[in-house]
Amino acid sequence: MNSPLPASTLLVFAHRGEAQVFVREFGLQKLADVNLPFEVLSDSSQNFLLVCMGEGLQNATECVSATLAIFGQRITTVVNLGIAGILSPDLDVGKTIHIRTCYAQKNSKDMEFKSFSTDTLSASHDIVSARDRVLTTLVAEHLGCFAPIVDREAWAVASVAHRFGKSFHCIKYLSDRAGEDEICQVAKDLSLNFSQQLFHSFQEWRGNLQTPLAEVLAMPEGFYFTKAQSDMFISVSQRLALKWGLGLKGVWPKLAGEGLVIDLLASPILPKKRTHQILKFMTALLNPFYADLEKKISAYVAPLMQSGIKIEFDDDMKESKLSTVVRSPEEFQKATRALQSFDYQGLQDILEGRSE
Amino acid sequence: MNFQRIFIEKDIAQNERTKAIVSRLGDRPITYIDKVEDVFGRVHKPYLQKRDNLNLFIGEKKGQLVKPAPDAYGLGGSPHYYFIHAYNCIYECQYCYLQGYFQSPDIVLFINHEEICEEIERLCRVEHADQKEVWFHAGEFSDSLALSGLTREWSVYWEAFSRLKNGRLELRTKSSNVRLIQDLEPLSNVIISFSLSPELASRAYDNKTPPLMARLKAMKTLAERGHRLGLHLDPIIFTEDYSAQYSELLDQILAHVNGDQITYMSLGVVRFTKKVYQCMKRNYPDSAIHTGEFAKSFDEKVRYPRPLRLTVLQDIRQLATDKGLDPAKIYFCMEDLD
Repeated sequence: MNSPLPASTLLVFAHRGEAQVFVREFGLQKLADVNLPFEVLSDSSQNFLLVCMGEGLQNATECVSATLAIFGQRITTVVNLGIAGILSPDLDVGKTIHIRTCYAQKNSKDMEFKSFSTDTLSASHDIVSARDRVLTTLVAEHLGCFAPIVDREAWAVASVAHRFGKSFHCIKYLSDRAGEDEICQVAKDLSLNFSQQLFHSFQEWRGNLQTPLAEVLAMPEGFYFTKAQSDMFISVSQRLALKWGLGLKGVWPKLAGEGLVIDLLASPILPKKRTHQILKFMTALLNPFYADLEKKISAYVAPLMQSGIKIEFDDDMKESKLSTVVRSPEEFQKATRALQSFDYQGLQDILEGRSE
Repeated sequence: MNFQRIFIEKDIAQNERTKAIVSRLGDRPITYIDKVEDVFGRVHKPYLQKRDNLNLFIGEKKGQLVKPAPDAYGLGGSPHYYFIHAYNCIYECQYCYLQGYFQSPDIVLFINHEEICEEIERLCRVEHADQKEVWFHAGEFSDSLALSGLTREWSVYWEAFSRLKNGRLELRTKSSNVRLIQDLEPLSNVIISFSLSPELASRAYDNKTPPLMARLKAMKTLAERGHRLGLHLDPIIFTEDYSAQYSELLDQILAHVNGDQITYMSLGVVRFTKKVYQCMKRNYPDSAIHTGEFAKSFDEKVRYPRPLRLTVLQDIRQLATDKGLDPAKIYFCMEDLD
């Protein structure tokens, strides 16, 4: 399948039975030379890593933390898959659900305040991870105040993925009504079916993944972007796209048609300088008010600048800081004369919107 | 309203006001809980879940029922308070601070309005007996009128303020729902204030609010029946043609109500706490608000830099005075003018 799914995706299950179809279909095998108290499986090209973490929040935290600590550099996405119980009369057994937000039970009375949302934008159901198996309707009703689905691990997996800065997704097969059905034996008996359902949903989801932003916006040629400049170029392009009501892809073609950009591309300057110029131009297009303000200020403080006095403003442009370097009595006199003849009120008028 | 579930505090389950609210909502799953706080705010529920997973809580407000308002809130010189009769809002304005304030978007309705009114009376008669005006603002944590068809509480406050010479009540709203208050007897110390933006901005940012025209008609209805009105042109979101847009908005307002029917008008430029700014970026990544340049300002809030704010505020104030509004009635909200 031609999919933009990142090269290394960590698939996380509680039990091997839920994972069995993934192991078979992706040809996953135990990685040798891994010193962990659980197996790590992978395919030959290491597109996928798969671990079975056991049941419960603590097992999940330990297993996913250890796996990401060792393999984290090449894992970009964590996907938790498995079965879950239903807490709401509005859901039916036998469906596969993409999870939106994960909550967790702290103890019999309290909830973990933190929640973790998945990166699956189309997801619309939440899950609560219970400390213990939900065996009574009383507990099910309490947990049902927070989410319509219950499992034992999702929140912990999400928490670790978040800590490691990984994209997180969660797909659950609704196997039973929590607090009502005896699920353990059924889960074992039907694990192949559950695993097939999960695999089918996973494959469907993979096929619908969006292309990452950086691939949508190719950097233009003829420039040299540092990392910070590249980030700024993307950010300003995104904002120009919003301002112009264009898709991100449409920004550079529109810019490239501007006279100033055509001249810039044709000019025999270094790519680094060209980058500086294009970013300045783009920023001015985004916020002409500031470009205009900058021009006004520059013109007004030019006499100070010529006398070696530098002027800086705080972020809010309320306070100004004047500084100069003095190496001789002549320079001191020059700076003093420039300050004495400078009308600060005029600058304040510009900064407070009172000048034309 | 499409509430998924209703949570009701057990102690007020049989209260007539509770029963009336529930009956107006029709058939919804109800869960009885000891306290609102047992469920509301116990977990961080993402703000945008209000779109398809909004719950309603009905309870009694405990603790401080009436709180001092922040500085620069309302016209200067008088004490200002706000009271809390509800948490959260059915609207979804992209800049709204509620997205970073509560840990849940669920709506909470408090029904002990008589207790809130008692505290208001105490503040007017005891704490500030020597003050000519003591202001009380509703709508700090929830739109004052959006759910008034469901809650129907304002007659209680009308009755209280009819007895309070120095009390001033302001109901802030983005709603056009004036059906239940329009027939209440107009009181000189009760002001219904409308937060308005130019039509384009309103359509772009004030998700799920009534159209501008509906709100202007609501203002007209109230004005015709003798109610006092306030205006909040807040938050102003900068666009290159803001002057033309606000000029048109002011014309539209004055085509519906006379300038002298407007008791006051506040002007405020969009601002965020750092937390709300981050929430907004996450919740509305495609909002045109992000085209603006923002920076940390005098009170640590994120705003447009001061030159732009002051330019915009002064321009719009000038537009308003040019169109005949009394400059003494216009004030800048939450702005550093020193």
